[in-house]
Amino acid sequence: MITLVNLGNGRNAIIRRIEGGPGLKNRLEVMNIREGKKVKKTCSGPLRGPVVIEIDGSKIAIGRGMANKVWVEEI
Amino acid sequence: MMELGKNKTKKILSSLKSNEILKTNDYNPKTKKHQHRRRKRFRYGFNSFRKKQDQDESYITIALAGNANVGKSVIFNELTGSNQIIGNWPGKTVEIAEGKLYFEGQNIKIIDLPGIYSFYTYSMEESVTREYIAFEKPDLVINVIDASVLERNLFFTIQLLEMKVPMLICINQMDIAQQKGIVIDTNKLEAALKVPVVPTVAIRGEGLHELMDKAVDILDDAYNYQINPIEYGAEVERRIKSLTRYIESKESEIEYPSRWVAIKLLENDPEIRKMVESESREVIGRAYQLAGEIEKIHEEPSFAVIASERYAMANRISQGAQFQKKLKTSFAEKLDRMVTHRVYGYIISALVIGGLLLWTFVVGDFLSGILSDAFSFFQPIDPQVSGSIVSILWNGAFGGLVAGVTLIIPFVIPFYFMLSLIENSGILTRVAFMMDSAMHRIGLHGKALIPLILGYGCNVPAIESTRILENRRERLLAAFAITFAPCSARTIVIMGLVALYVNIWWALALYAIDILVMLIAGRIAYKVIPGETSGLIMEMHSFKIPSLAVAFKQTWKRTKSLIYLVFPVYIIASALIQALYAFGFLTPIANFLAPITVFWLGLPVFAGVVLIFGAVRKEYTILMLVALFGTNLAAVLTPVQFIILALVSMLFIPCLSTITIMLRDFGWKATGTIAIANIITAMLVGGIVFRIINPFF
Ligand SMILES: Nc1nc2c(ncn2[C@@H]2O[C@H](COP(=O)(O)OP(=O)(O)O)[C@@H](O)[C@H]2O)c(=O)[nH]1
Ligand SMILES: [Mg+2]
Repeated sequence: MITLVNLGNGRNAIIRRIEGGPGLKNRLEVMNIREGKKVKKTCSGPLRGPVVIEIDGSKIAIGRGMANKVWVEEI
Repeated sequence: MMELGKNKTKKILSSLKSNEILKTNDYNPKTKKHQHRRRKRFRYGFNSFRKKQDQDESYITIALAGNANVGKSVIFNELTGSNQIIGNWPGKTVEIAEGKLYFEGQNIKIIDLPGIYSFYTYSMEESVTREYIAFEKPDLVINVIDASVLERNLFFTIQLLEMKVPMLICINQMDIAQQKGIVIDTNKLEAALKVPVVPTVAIRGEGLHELMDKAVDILDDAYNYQINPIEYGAEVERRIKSLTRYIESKESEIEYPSRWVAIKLLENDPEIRKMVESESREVIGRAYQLAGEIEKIHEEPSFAVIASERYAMANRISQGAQFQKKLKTSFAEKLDRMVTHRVYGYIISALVIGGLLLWTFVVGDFLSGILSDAFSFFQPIDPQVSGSIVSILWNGAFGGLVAGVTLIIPFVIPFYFMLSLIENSGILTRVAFMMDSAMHRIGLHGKALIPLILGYGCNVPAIESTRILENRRERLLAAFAITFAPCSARTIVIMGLVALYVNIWWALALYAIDILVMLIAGRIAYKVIPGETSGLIMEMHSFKIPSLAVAFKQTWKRTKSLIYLVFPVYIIASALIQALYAFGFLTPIANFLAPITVFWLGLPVFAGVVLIFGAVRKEYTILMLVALFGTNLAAVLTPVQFIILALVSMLFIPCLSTITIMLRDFGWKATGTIAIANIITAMLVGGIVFRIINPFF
C-alpha cells in the first residue's frame, strides 16, 4: 500500500485506510474521500504542494500532509 | 411507511410526470424555450406582487438547506430578488439570510441556511443549521443537492430525513451533471428517498417555478405528508429503535426528534450529549451501553459504524438513480492541466493576479480622474483648517464623502467586478492550489489566498471573507496579513507621494516592501500564535464561462457592505478630526510624537498630524499635506521623506473602517493586538529603511 502522495499521476486506486483522528477523517469523509472509494490522482502541486484527486467525477485538492495519511491500493 | 404518506407520494409522483420539464438530462430546445417563458413570469410577475403584499403577516417559512456550493444562494436570490453572495468556493454564507416571496396566493419567507457538509458539529455553520431546523421549525425544508456530486450530498439528505421535517429535494446543477456525463433518474431517486424531487438549473432559473409549485402543494397537504427516515442495518437499527423508545419514555423537553437524538447519542455527538445529560443521565447511560454493543459486533467505534452505514446507503441510492456515460477529454480538461502545471501554472497564476491589479490601476486611475474633476467643480475638497466650526465640520464631512466615492467607484468596484469574473470562472481555485505551499509558510493554506487578494481592493470585505477559513486562529492570521495588504487607498498614497514626487521605481519598490512585510509579519504571527494549521481540502470546480449577471450581483453585495460601514465612519471621523486639528488639539500630539517621527524616522514634525489623519483614511495623508502646504510638496519634503512617509502611513495602522470590522468579528483584544503589532512593524520598518536608503540620496 502507498499513500496518495506516492501514487503516480493519472493512476487509479482504491482507498484502504485513512490515518488520523475523527476530526480529520470526518473532513475527508464529507468530501467522499473514504475507505473503499475509487480515486484517480490527477496531479500534485509543485514545491510539496497539494495533491489533486478525482472522485466520482469531481476534483478535490488535498493538502500534502493529509494526502500522506490516505493509504491506497493501486488498481 | 404510513398509508397516507404513500398516497401522497403517489400523487406527487404522478403530478410530476405531467410537468416534468427537466426530466433527467435530455435537453430539448423546445422545452427550454417553454421553460424560459415560465421563468420570466416567475421573476417579474411574482416579484412585483411581492412588494405589495409585504405588510401581511401570515408567512409560510421555507428553509434552503444543503451542502456548501450547491447553489442555495442562487436559488434564494432568484426567489427573493435579493443579493446573497455567490461564489465558486464554499463557505460564503455563515449567517442566516431571509427574504420574502409572494407565490400563488401565499406569503412565503425564504431562509438561506449556511452550507454544511454533514450534521457532525465541527463548524459553526453546522450547528447554526441544525439548531435552526430544530428550534425555528420551518414549515418546509428544501434540501438543495448538487446533481454532479449526488452521493456525497446524500449523506446530508439522509440526516435531514432523520430530523423528520417536511422536506422537498431540489436537485440543482443538472447542467453540470450533464457536462460530466451523469444521467440522473429523478423518479428512482424519489422512490428511494420517498420525498419529491425537482430538478433545476438555478443559474438559468430553470425548474424553480416547479420547485415552488411542489413546495406549495406539500404545504397545502401538510397533514398527510409523512417523512420516513431510511433504516440502518439490522444490528444498528435495532439499537436505534430501542434507544428511541427509551428516550420517548422519559418524556424529556428536547426539541429534536427522538430518533435523531438516539442516533446522535450513538454517534457520541458532543453537543447533543451535553444537552441530553442535563435532562436525563439514564439516557446517556443506556446510549453508552448500546454504543458499546455496536462496537463489539463491528470492532470499530460506534460513530464510524453509523457513518459507514450512512455512506453505504448514500452509495446504494445514488448508484440506483444515476448512470455515468463515457466522456472524451474535454477542452476544460486540457486547460486544467495547463493551469496546474509546475511551470505554466505559476506563470498563469502570476498573470491572473498581475492582470487583476493592472486592470484596477488603469481603470481606477482613469475613473478617479474624471470623478475628482466632477467633485472639485462643486467645492474644493482639500481639508480646511481655519474658519467657523460649521464650515470646518461641513468641509470635513464632505471631504470624507468625496474620499469614499472617489475610492469606491473607480478602484473598488472595478476590482471586485473583475475578481468575481475570475472567481466564477473557476481559475481562482487553481491559483489557490498553486499557492498552497507558499501560504503554509505563514500558517495558512491555499484557500486563504482568496481573502488576501480581496484585501488588495479594500481590507474591509477581505476581513469579512476570512470566514471561509476553518478556525479562529486561521481567521486571525489571515486578518493580520490582510491589514498589510496594499489596498486601493494605500496605492493612492504610494502613487500620490512617491510616484509623483520621487519616481515610479521607488513606488514599485514600496509595493514590494509592503508585500515582503506582509509575508514576514505573517510568518512571525504564525510562529507566535499557538495552534496547528489545518490542511487544504478544496473542491476544484470545472472551468466555466463566468456569468456577467452573477458578477454584477456579487460586486454589488461586496460593495454594499463596504458602503454601509465605510461611509459613516469616513464622514463622521473626517469631520471630527479636522475640527480637532483646527482647534489646535493635534499639534501637541504631533510634538509629543516628535522623538519618533523626527529622530527615528527622519520626518518633519508635522508628519505626526498627517499620520493621524491617515488613520481615518489612508489617502488623507495626501489631502492633509496639500491642505497644509499646497501642491508644491517638493518644497517641504525631501525624496527620502516622501518615501518614508508613504511607507509608514501604509503600514502603521489599518484604517478606521478596518478596525471597526475587526472589532465586530474578533473583539477588542485581538483587534488591539493587531493594531499595536501594525504600529510596531511600521516603526521598525520605517526606521530601518530610512537608515538604509538615506545615504543613497
Ligand atoms: N452551472 C451551474 N452552476 C450553478 C447552478 N447553481 C449554482 N451554480 C453555481 O454554483 C456556485 C455556488 O453557488 P452558491 O449559490 O453560492 O452556493 P451555496 O453555497 O449553496 O449558497 C456558484 O458559482 C453558482 O454560480 C446551476 O444550476 N448550474
Ligand atoms: Mg450560500
